[in-house]
Amino acid sequence: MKDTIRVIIRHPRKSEVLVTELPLTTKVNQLQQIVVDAGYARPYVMGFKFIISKHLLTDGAALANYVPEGAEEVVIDIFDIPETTI
Amino acid sequence: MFSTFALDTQVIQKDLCTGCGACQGLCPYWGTQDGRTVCFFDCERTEGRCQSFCPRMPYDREALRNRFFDPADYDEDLGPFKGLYLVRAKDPAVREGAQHGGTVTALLKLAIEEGLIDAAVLNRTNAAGDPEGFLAESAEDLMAARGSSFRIAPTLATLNKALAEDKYKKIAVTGTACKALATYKMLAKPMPDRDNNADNIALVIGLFCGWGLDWDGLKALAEKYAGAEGVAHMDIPPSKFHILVITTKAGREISVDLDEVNPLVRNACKHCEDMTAEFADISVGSGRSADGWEVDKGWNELVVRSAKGAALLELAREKGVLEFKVLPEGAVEKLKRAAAGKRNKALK
Repeated sequence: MKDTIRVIIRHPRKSEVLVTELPLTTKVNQLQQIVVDAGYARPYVMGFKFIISKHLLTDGAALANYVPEGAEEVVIDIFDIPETTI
Repeated sequence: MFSTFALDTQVIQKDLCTGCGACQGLCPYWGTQDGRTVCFFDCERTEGRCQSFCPRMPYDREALRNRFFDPADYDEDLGPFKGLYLVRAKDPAVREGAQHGGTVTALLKLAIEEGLIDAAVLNRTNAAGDPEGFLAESAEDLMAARGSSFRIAPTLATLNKALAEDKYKKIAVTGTACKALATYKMLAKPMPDRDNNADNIALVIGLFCGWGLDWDGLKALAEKYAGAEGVAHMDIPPSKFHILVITTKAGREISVDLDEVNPLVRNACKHCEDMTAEFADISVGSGRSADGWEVDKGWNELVVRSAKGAALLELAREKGVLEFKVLPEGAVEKLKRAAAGKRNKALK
């Protein structure tokens, strides 16, 4: 089984998406830095929250906790709160 | 993968959940709202019992069957099969208010009286008219739970709570195929260190089932046709009639075209391939003979699947609890065709 997965990150107020390949061990609380480093969003002091399939992800959990075995791609939404910076 | 996430995304969100309650009563994360299973919030367990017990999560059907039933009894259409019988409760008081022949109530009553079980988990209709899981602790309790609601209640949540309490050591479970299968998944103890006292399950009586209906939809239908009279009983005659019969509390019989009922069938039930509840000691459904529906509706077909089921039926015969009627020629083949019909429809 591959230990990385293609990740598509969607922003609530952007039409373009961020596509990247991440290890399945990537923690949810590392995603904001990845998004910021890619220039996709500016840092948000409170920290972004992320959603997969209508579930708010737990900060300390790994992507593997939300991805079925053998999956090749996962879509992650940035939780839409008014304070989210672009 | 987190279990609540797996179950929610692979079963609930895909509309495959029957609402049996197998995932409930074990933790605070799952519940029911109007017949729909709801994940209140995620837990961080990756091997949850909720996921392991769910009848809609993947499993090895053949391995599970061979673990609990004699492989020599296996029939392709009917599952484990030791014999088919046409029976009804001998006591008219048991038959009165029963869905058909009162066989399940009579068998459970006998099992309690003989000490084979000390409680039974089944459904009853509550004051609001909704079905609910119910732990019957006496013969009187069993009598209060006769009849079918045509809706799937989260009965197994009641079972899970009763098992956790560990008060009763010999609990019977009655339920449709989804519930019966989930009960055997519990008996298989996928997590031996957290088995929720599964050994306290003493008997499984499966109920033949074509489908379950949407709770609110059926209530609206009943209101439309029975109105203030209220519903005393509902039944589905053989398919050639293509009707649902509602009997009001005033004794009026109303025929509703099944075309009006079919849209209320839960999506999850359309994917179910098990009409006769193959994972059970005994399975019971409506009777079919050459005498016609008016006679047959007071009888039950009964499939014996295990040695335990055979022993209970024999005891019922000895004690005179059940009446037996000679099966019409071709009855087994007819039941096989019906079961295969549901399976083929589900697999389409």
